[in-house]
Amino acid sequence: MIRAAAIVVSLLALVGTMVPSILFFYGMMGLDRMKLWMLVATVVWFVTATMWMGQRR
Amino acid sequence: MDNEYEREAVPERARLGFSSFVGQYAGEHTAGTELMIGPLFVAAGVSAFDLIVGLLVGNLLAVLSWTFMTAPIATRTRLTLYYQLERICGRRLVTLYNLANGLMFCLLAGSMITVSATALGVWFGFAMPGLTDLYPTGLGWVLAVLAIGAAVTVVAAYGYAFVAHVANIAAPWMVLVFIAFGLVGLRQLGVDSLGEFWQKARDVIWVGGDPLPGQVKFTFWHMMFFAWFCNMAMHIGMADLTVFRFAKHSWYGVSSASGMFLGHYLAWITASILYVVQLRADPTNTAVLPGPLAYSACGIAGVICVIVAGWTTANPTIYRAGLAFQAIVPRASRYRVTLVTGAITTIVGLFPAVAMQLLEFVALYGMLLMPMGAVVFVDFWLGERFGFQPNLAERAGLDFNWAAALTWFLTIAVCTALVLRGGIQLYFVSLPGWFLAAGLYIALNRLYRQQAAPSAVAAVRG
Repeated sequence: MIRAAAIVVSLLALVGTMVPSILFFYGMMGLDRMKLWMLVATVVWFVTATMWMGQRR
Repeated sequence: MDNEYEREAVPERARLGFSSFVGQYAGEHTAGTELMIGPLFVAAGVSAFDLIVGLLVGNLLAVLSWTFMTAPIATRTRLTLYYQLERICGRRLVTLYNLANGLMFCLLAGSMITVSATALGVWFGFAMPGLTDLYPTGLGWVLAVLAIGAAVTVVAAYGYAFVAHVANIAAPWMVLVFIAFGLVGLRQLGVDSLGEFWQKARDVIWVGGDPLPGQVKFTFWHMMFFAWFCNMAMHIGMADLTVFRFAKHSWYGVSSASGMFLGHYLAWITASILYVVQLRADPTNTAVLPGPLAYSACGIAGVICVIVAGWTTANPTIYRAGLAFQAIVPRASRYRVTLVTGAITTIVGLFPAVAMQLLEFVALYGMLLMPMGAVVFVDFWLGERFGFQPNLAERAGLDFNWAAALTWFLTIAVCTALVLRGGIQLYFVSLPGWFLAAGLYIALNRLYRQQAAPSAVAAVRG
């Protein structure tokens, strides 16, 4: 259950890494806010991906 | 994977599926050094067509080289390059090859430490090297490189598996950060939609013209040959026999496309865009510093990307260099050899010369190791057609195959002379060099068997 949740959250974090830069590209988000959201997504990715990537089921 | 089946063929049960190779190539070739190479293209005055199409063709040729030159031999012999070379060239010549390979790995890993150190400069604000700097730029730079070099070395010696794990986790995230670099850079250069990309690419981003002072002008052919040959040691040089011996089928060579088109296409292009943003903001700021470039585009996430990309690729490189050196002194412990290797690498990292001249270094790396790839290719495919059986050293009990050694030395000598005296640039010399090496090995092998080692010939025939 925890593993499944970690997979879902980490995939969302990957989306969260990408989406801010797309929004910035289309002028829908400022640079500082984009950097902040990318950092948040980065931290979430590394924390949650560690919980399932390379781990045995 | 490196420590398994080092002196035997990989058995069927140990063979890996296609996706394993896709992941490995994507991770290995999306490295910290991509953030150096992309900007150096801009510094070389490349135009949009030459960059986009030249890289496309060159990377395609690299994938074809892995698929049609490396993987077919790997999936037939199932041996590491080192063992395959030992069977052809003998143990003493392989030791020499290991020395050259290990030194090249040290220089490459040193440039990766240089890249990571530029990320520390963002936080600590010490003086960092410029495009033409060859020596350390101050105490802050030295301390940063020493700190990163020490950390990378200790982890390479004692915690390699941990870093490999971090590298796997970081790989998909890193690819997305590289894409983000490009999107942010494009927006900052005034590209508002993907539809106007090509027009802005020609007129604003990669406008061509003269290179920056001290740089060689890059054309379509430079881009194509650079993309094709920057991993020449791996494909045409056959180092990746060690990787593809685990492949179920030889067509798995196409998996290298993941590394080429994510790392050597997308990442190079996006990194070059960031450098154009920097130059347009301040034309006098020509320094190629991945840390500040990444920070300006994506903030702390960008800096983390530079550190992780540099570290996770420096680690296996130091580890491989250690293995190569350990083969020379097998009694020394691997940990001690890796620590010494890391110390050498860190010293290299202090000098920005290697990182700032990375385009030339990478081309040189391929040229130095390419002749042995030609020896393996000829020995495997053409030997019987030209009247000699493969694996001479193993069959005749030789520990130094002079035909292979002379092929290697003479090819390098001729290529070096062509570069220094013949006016041929380093990027172009390896293609004729490969044909020269193949021809030399055929001729020298026949001569060697007739004159220098008649007993060997008798043994082989017997």
